[in-house]
Amino acid sequence: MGTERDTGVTRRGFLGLTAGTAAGVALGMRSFKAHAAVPHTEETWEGGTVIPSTCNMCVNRCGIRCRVVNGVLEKIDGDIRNPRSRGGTCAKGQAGIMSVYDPDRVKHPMIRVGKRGEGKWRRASWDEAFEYVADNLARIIKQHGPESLLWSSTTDLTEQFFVRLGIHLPTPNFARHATLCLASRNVGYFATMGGVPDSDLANAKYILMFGANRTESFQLPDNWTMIEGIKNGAKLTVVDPRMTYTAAKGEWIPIRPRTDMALTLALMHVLIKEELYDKEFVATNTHGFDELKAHVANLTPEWAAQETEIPAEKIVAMAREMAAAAPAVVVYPGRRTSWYTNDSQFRRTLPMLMALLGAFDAPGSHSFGSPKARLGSFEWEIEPFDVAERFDHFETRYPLANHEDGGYVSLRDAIVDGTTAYPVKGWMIYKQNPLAAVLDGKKSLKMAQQMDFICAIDVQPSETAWMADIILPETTYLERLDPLWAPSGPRAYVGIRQPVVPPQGEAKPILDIIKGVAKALDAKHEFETPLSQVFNFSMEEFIDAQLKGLPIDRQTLMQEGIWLGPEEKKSYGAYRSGKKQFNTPSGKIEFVSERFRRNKFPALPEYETPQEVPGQQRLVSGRHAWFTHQRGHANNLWLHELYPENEVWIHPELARQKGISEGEEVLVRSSVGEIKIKAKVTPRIRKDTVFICHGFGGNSAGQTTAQGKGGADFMLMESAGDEISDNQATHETFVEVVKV
Amino acid sequence: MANQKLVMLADTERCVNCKGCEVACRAEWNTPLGFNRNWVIETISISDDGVPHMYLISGRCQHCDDAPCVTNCPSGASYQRDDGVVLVDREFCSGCEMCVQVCPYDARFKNPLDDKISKCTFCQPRIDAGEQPACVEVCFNRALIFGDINDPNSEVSQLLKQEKWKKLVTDKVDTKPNHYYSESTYLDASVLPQEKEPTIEAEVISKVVNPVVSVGFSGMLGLFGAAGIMKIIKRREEVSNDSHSE
Repeated sequence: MGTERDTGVTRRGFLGLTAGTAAGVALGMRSFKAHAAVPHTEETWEGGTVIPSTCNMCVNRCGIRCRVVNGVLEKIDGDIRNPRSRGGTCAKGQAGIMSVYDPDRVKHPMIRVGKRGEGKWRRASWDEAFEYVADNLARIIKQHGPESLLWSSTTDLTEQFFVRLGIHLPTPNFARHATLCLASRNVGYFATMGGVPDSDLANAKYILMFGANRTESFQLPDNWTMIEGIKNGAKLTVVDPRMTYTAAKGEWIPIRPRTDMALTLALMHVLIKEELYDKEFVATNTHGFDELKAHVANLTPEWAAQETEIPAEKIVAMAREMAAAAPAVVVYPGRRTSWYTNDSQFRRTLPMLMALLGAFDAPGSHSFGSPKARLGSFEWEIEPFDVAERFDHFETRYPLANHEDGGYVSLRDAIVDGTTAYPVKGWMIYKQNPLAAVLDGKKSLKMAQQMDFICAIDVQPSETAWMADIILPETTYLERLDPLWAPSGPRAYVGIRQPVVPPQGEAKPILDIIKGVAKALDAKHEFETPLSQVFNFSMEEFIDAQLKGLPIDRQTLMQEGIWLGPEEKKSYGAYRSGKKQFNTPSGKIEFVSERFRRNKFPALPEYETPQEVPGQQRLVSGRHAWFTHQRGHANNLWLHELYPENEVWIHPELARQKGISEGEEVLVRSSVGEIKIKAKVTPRIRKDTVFICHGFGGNSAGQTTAQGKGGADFMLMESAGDEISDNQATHETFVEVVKV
Repeated sequence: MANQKLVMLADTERCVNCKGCEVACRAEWNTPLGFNRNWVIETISISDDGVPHMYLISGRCQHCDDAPCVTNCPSGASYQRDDGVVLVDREFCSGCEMCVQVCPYDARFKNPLDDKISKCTFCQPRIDAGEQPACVEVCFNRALIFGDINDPNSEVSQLLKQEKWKKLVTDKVDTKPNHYYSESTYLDASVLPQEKEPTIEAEVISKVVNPVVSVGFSGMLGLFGAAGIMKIIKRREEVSNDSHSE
C-alpha cells in the first residue's frame, strides 16, 4: 500500500478532489446532536433524498434505493419490494458508489498519441471523437467492406443500441459474452429440454450442485432461495474440486476434476438398476429411455469411483437420497460453465438425471414459465440485409451454437492464426474486457495488435480500453436512463434504471454515443437506411414504447422505481400430464438428443477419462462474492479493500512437498505463460488441483488501484473450447507451481 | 424506549460472507479505508475423517453489559445506554485508545480522520430514527437480525426461542455481550474474546478519575490540566450515576 489513497483518504476526500464543489461541507464531520438524560454527543445521520433504481454491478439487476445528500451519492440500499432481490444489496451493489467517484474513471474522450498500449493519450472533444471514429470506420468499410468490423459487447439493457449499429452497417461479426460464460449450458439444456428451466430451491429437499457457486457468484433469486431451502431442511451436496462458500453450506464432495460426467452417468445407472426412477414421468415425458438404459448399463458406481475418487457407496447413497426426495430435487444447471471441452455434453446429463427423478413441473424442482411482465416492443427500422458469412466459419464449425453471439476463442484464434475467410480490420468494443477474460491472454494481445482500428466505449480504462486507439467515456449506471427490465421471477415486475446523480466529466449515455457515431458516419458513407434515422428517438420514447399495454406511465415508474404485477400462484402439472410439449424435436425431454444426432454429435453423452500431466496440477478458476465481473470491480476502492490481491490455492500436502509456505510468492507456469502470485495453503482444494480467482493481475496502467495486484489466470490458460458450443474451456490447463 | 434491550443475532447458517455488511457500514459511517467497524471471519474445523468444515462469522462490537471499554475509559466518554447500546461520547473522547486495548473483541479503533474512537454503534442514529442498522438492512440472506429482546413479539425474541444460539464467551472472558450466534457455529481463537490486561496508565487513570474508586487523585493532577480533569471527573460521575440508576 503506502499511497495516501489506499490507506486514508475517504470518499469525501475524493469528492473534494474530483468534483471540487461543496468539499468543505463534505469533508467536515457530521454535525452533533445531544439526547438521553445525560447529554451525549453522537454521530448524526441524514436521510437525504432516496431515488429508486436498478443496480448494474453484475447482471442480476437488483432493485436499489440510492440516498443522495447535497448532490452526493452517500448510500445504496436494497429495495424490499423487488421480488428477485427482496431488499438485499451485496458488497458490489453498495460499492457502486465508488464506480461513480473512481479517480481512475475515464471522464473525457481520449485519443491515443503514443504506441498502442503505451498509455499516452490526449483529451478530445466529443465532436472530434465522433469524427475520429467515423473516419476510421468509413475507411475500413470502403476498403474491406463492413464485414471486416468485429463488434464486441456484453449483455446488458443498453447493449441492443450498440448491436443495432453493427446490424445496420451491416456486419455479421458479433462477439458477445456467451462463450466466456454460459454457452455450453444453454446448448446442453436446449438440446435436452428446449431451454434452461427455473430451479425452485426454496422448496427443494435435495440440491445437487456441480461447481456452481451461488453464494459467491450471485444469481437471482437462487442465491437466497438456496439458503432458504437449506433452512427449510434441504440437503445440499456440492461437487467441486474446491471447497467454495457454497460447499461450506452443505456437504462437500471433492471430485477429481473433469470427471463430473462419470458421476452423473453412474447416478443414472443406480436409479435405473435399482428401479428408483419415476416410471410414469419417464414414460410420458422422455425420449430414448431404452437407449439410455443400455448406455449406462456398465457405468457402475464402482467404475465411477475409479474415475471420480468418490467412494462407490457414496454414489449409491446419493442416488437413493435423491430418489427419496423426488420430485423435490434440483440438480442445478449452473451459470458460468466454461470449464471443459466436453461441457455441453456434461450439461446434458443434468436434466437427464432430473428427468429420471421426475423432478420437473412440481414444487421444489425445475419448471418453465415463471411470472414475467410483458413489455411492449420498440419498433426499429428494419430492412432486409445482405449480410456476409462470419469470418471465422463459426456457423459450420458450431452449428448448434448461437451464431449471433459468436465464439471468442475460435474467432481470436482465426484472426491470429490467419485462417479468417476475409480480413478483419476494425474492432468496436462496448463494455467488455476480452483482453482480460479470454484465455491465453498473450494471444489475445496479438489480435488487438493486428487491428487497424480499435474503439472502446467504457467507464473504466480497462485492459482492453488501454489497447484502443480511442476511448469513449460512458456514464455509469447511476448517471443514466436505461431501457426497462422485466425478468421472470417469483412475481412479475418492471424495474427502471434512472440517473441518481449527474454524470462525472463529459461522460455520455450509450444511446447518445451511438447517435453521435451514427451522425458522423452518415456524412462519410451511404447506408441502406441512414444510421441517424435508425436512432432517431429518445430513451424516453423507447421506454414509453416498452410500457405500452402496461397500467403504468414513465413518470410514475420513475417515482416508484418498480411496477409489481399481480401475485400469481404457480400452477403445476401441464407438462407432467403431457398437455404441454417441450421445445425439442420429439416434444419430450430427450435422453437421446435428436438435435445432436442430426448434427453428427454423439446423441448420448460419452465419457472420456481425462488425461493428466504428471507432476503438474490442473488449474481451475472462479469468482468470489466481492467482485463478480470485470466491470472495473478490481479497481473499485471499496471492493479492492475487501480483497486486494488473489492467491494460488494449494493443498497443504503439495505445499509441504514443494517447501512452500502460506503467503509466499511463487511462480505458476503453463505452456502459454507464467505469473508470480502469493500462495494460499488450504485444505479447501484437492492435491491435484490449484485455484486462482479470476479478475486480478490487471495490466492496465490506467487502473492504478488494480494494476499489478495478484496474478491473471487467463495468462496461464491454454486455448481450448467446448466442442459443441465453443464456450471457452478454462479448466483444461495444467500448471507447475514453482518455489522461487 | 426505556424498557428496550437491543441485541443482534448472527445466523451463521445463513451468512455467505458476501461482505455486504462491511461495505454498508463503511458507506454509512464513512470509515476510512484500512479500518472497519464490522467484519466477517472464516473459521475452519477439520473433522476426524479429514474433511474441512467452514463457518462464516459476522462480527462487530458485542455491546457488552460488563464492558471493559466503559470501565476503562478515563474520560467517561464510553458509556452504555439503558437499551444496552455501547457508545462513545464524541465531545469527551480524547482518543487515548485505552478502550481499544481492553476490548476482548478488538472492536474499536481510533479514526485518523477525527482522532476519536470509532466502533459499531448498532447504527444508533439510524435506530433512533426507527431504521434498522445499515448492515442488517442490506443483508441478502437475512443472516443479521436486530431488535428488542424485551419485546416477546419481536423477531429476535421469536428466533431466540425457535433456534439455538450462543455468545462469544469463554471460561476466562465473559463481558456479558448482547450479540448472539447460531449454536452450530465453530468458534476458534480468531473470533473468541481474548484476555486483555489494561495498561498501567489505563488502570491508574481510570481508577484515579473514576469517582467510584477514586484514590490518590491529587497526585495525578500534575498530569492533566486542572480544568480538563475537573470536566472529566464530573463526567465520570454523571456516567456512573447514569449507569447505576437502573
